[in-house]
Amino acid sequence: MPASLTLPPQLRPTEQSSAIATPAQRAPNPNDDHVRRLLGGLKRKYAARITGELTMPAQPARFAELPEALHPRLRAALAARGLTRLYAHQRAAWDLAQRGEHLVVATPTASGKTLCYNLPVLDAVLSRGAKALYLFPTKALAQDQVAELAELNQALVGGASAAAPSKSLSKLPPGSNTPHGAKARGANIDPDPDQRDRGTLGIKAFTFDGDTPGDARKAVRTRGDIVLSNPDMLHQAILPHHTKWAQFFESLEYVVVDELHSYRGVFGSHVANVFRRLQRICRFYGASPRFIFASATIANPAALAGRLIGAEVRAVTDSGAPRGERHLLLWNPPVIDPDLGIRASARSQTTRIARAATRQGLKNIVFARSRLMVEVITKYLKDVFDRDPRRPPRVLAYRGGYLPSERRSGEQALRAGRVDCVVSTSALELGVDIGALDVAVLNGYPGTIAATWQRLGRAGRRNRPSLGVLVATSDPLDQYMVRHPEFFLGRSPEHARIHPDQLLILMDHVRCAAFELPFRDGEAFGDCAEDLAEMLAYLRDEGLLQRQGGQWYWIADSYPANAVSLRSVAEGNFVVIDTSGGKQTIIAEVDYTGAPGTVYEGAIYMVQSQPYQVERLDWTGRKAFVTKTRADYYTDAIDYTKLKILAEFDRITNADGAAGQAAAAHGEVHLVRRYPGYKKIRYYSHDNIGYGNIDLPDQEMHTTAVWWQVHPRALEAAIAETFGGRERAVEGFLGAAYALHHVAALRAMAELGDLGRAVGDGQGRWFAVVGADGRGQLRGPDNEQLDGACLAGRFEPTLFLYDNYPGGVGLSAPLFDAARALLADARALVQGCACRAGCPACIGPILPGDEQRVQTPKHLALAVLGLLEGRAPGAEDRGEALPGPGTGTLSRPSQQTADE
Amino acid sequence: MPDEAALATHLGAEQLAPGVLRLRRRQPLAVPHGHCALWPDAAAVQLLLPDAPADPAGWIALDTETSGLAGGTGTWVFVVGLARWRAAHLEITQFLLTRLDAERAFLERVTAELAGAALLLSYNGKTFDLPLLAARLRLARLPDPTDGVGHLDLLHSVRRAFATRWPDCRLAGVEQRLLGRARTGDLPGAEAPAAWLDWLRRGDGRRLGAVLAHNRMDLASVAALPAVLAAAHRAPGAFGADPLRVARWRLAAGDADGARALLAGTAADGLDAGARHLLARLHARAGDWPSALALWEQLADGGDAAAREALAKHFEHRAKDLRRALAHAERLPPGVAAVRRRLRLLDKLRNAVQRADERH
Repeated sequence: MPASLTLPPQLRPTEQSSAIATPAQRAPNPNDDHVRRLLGGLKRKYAARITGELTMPAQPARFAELPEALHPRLRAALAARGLTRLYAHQRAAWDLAQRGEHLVVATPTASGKTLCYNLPVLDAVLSRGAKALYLFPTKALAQDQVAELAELNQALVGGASAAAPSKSLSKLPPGSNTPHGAKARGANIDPDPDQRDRGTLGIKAFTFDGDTPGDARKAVRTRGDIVLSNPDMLHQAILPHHTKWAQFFESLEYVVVDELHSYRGVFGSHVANVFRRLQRICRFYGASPRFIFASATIANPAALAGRLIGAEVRAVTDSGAPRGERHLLLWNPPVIDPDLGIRASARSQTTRIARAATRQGLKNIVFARSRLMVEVITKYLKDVFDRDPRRPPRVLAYRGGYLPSERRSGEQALRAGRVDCVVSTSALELGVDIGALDVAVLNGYPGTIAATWQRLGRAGRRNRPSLGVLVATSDPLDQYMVRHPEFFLGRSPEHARIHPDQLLILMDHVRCAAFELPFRDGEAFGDCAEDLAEMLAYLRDEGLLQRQGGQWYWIADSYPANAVSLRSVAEGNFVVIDTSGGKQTIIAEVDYTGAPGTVYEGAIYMVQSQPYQVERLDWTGRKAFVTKTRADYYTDAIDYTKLKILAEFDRITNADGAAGQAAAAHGEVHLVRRYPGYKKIRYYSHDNIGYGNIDLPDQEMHTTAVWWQVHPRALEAAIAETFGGRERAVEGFLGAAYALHHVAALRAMAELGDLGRAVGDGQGRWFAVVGADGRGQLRGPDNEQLDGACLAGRFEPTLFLYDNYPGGVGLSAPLFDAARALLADARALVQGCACRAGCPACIGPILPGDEQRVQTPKHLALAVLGLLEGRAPGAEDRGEALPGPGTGTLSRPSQQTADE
Repeated sequence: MPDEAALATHLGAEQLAPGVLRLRRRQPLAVPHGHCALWPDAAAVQLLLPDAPADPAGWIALDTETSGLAGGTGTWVFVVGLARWRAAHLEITQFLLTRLDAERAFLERVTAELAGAALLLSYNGKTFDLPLLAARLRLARLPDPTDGVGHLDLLHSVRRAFATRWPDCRLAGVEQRLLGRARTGDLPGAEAPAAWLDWLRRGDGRRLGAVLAHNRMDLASVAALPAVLAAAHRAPGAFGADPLRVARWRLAAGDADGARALLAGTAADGLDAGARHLLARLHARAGDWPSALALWEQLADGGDAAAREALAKHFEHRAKDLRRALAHAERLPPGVAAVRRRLRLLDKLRNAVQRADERH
């Protein structure tokens, strides 16, 4: 039953809108009917699968006058292109910029955010010869933008013809009839200034990235009015060489940061420190640039931007741009085994919807959560639509790891409308220009509300109706979401958080900053709260700095920025090399952290759904050698994690009378991740058809974690009374960990992968895994199986949730503060689940025989959650006698990880 | 606390300001450096850098020692060595930075010494020493005295003439091969940063003397190199240099006659196919067709397709000897262009035969 809903405030059409503006005239589009027909068809045929529905009516435009103060040439040039007024939010951004405020524009996709920053910047360049630095999270986005600026530059002399519609201008009112996808991809502006100045206003916009040739760099530094780059280049190439950029910094008035929402977590924490360094350098050159941020919808754009630059930032969030009617469906796959609570896979539903859309001639995008799933879905859709190899492909896969050239040609095909369906990871969540689409299908909840809207926003630009479908997987989070549509539909997007003072990250950047300019005694590093003098003294003891005359000078022969990656702490990407036919061709790149789980020897690695088998992995050389294969299966790595507690920061104890006693704590842990093997999974049937071994070095890191323990006395009592054996108790801990992990991700507003979970003794003597037989097992330090009953010493299973980034990025402390609430959330999740014995939607997949057991896995998990809450053993007990272990059969339902 | 006065005494230097030491040494020009004289050679310098001022009084050879090779704003220049030609001496002035907080004073002295320079000579100074010095000056908020001053970077001359002939173009190798001078007991340049750090961290300046000696040797080599490099540019064959690259350089400077004379003057067995092609083209450009043809014939006999094509073109368009043109065209390697050329020649031949026929 679709839930009846009220619109959340940010989705309601603005009331005063009609008074100010007339809705733009819309040419009738045949696809309008197709979208409604598809929607009608889905609702008719699959009513039971649709758990929520939301319709957002079309929203008319709200306009404002062009500012009086606008440079006359800029005004004339805009007028020549038919642009005589602004959207309300564009004017609001202008006004804030003129007042010298830092500002952030957070309005929906395709609302004309670009002009919000281009207008003040171009005006400042024209009137005062100011300089601006534009930062985009990726190289590709900067290159997109320089092409746009080139066109705007052309437009400024009024020379551009109407035959070359540009994205930047077609996004603006009132040019709403410009054909989408026809954006002329102006090449990079020629770095030869003489050639370029002829016939344009001469605003020089250059990209500066790893592809910029050495001989062009000087021209960029000395002649660029607008330099478009990325934080990584700023960090590694610009700031450490700031003296070469002296002229640029001296006149720097604006720093534009687009895609603000992607600056969160580790990356955002690094970038906040890069901005501390940038502002320090600017001060040296007597400049204090204003920051203009552009963001997708998040709950706290101004707070995030403020944290990034350590200053107050004003927000513009009320969009004046028109929007077409939008429909959103929440979709739960049908239950196919009611006993086990097993639902059809999200994958099957997603491909079904994408097939229907493609057949109706609607351009559609499928978002999958993993690269593997992108390849699997692409294969299934290609099997339907691209059977004839002589015809150009209608289905395209797009994800990180493809070579830039391949991604560029994919983007071009999308813009030109040559592709009907694109299957992507979050890679297309960002503002990569791919033209407008009609339908967006999300295979699984992306983990945050902000990312969900960002992905859904890919469909339905300007004045056309669009459809988004969020298909739930069997993950607890997804199931919670579709069963409680009000949670998703009625809620504002999350807060994006960063933790710039995380010590490892901070130290990296203090090092870089000291290299760039000596620190003076008493100097601050942005709004950093840590003791800078102490850090500098540490760096002196390391031999990097020397203090003389009240200043700390860099004296080491090294270039610290090269050792610091903003994206992770990993070192070196792996390249995937195809050796088929005797040649060696690089076909993809895999980042360091992803490598052990994707390019182990024997792995099937897919590019555009063509399977390759990894023949050899050169770990030190960072190379994976593959050959083409026709295997009818794909592979999925198994990993497990050992944790050892290094230091405990804090602890709270729950006690319910004398009988039960439990504690939650947080602190620092040492973590070892090992990949012992992989599963082979057959296409379509998803049967597990075999295993292989993986021989790779352990991945180690120090991080922070929150953990829960039951007092051994209470636990032994419970084992005697309730569980009937240590293995059963361990199974309960694993189920409880599964549920806690998911509710914690929700509460921390983190993605599931930002946190990890583990069950062990905390000393590294043993840890628990779900074995190949589907049962909880105890393993020793070298992964040998242990008998729980024979464990020496105290039996004190510990349930860990850890921050999945080296050093931790501040996720575990808030979890510790909410430790009690998390247990209640987990209990609510498990108790509220409709399954009888446990399922992937609450405590993880279970064995087919387990629902026959009196002591079901669900029961075990609830008992453990009860113990962790400090309840006396037996409080959960139904008083039934426990059967012995081993009543289940040894085959498992198709595993959740294989499916999703 | 490191004792600067003791260091100055030890090095034979004078203390200009706290943290700034200066050494002056004079080297008689008459004493050869290796087997080469140090006399200023204006003709040589102007051959290598045509705009260079002729008066050696304005020339300064420059070489620095740095805290490392990493580059960027964290790399220090702690020795600046400058050499000038004065009457019968090469006067070498070296500035040594002994305190980090004295960099501004150090750079001010260096700047004053550089004032009036009309030409800088260096080895790899364009990409290494001067950008680093510019960065230090920027950090100290001082103007750059080398802005707009002509610069002869001898590494570029060495690379031009010898990059294809030698395994590397490092200064030590150049000294051995061109100046006939092997360094003995020299402190390897890479150890200079450590020597300076010893002083900064522990006040141990024992190795700084060797750093300064190394720097003086580099400066003397820079002073001696123009003469021998100019000779190698005039007669590449005699020095084992690459005549083709040198000739191309002359050509790029607009001196086609010079390039032609240079190649023509090199023994024939010293010229590879590329050099012969260039020479043939230069002959043709100068209207010396017999010499050009001789070279192309020679190359064509050796199976050189480009030479055959040049011959085919020559006989078709200039000599109007269609049959010889066709003979060459027929031996061109297969390809669309070759087929077109043959068909066109056959057409022309047919027309010519027809016209001849009609005259009968």
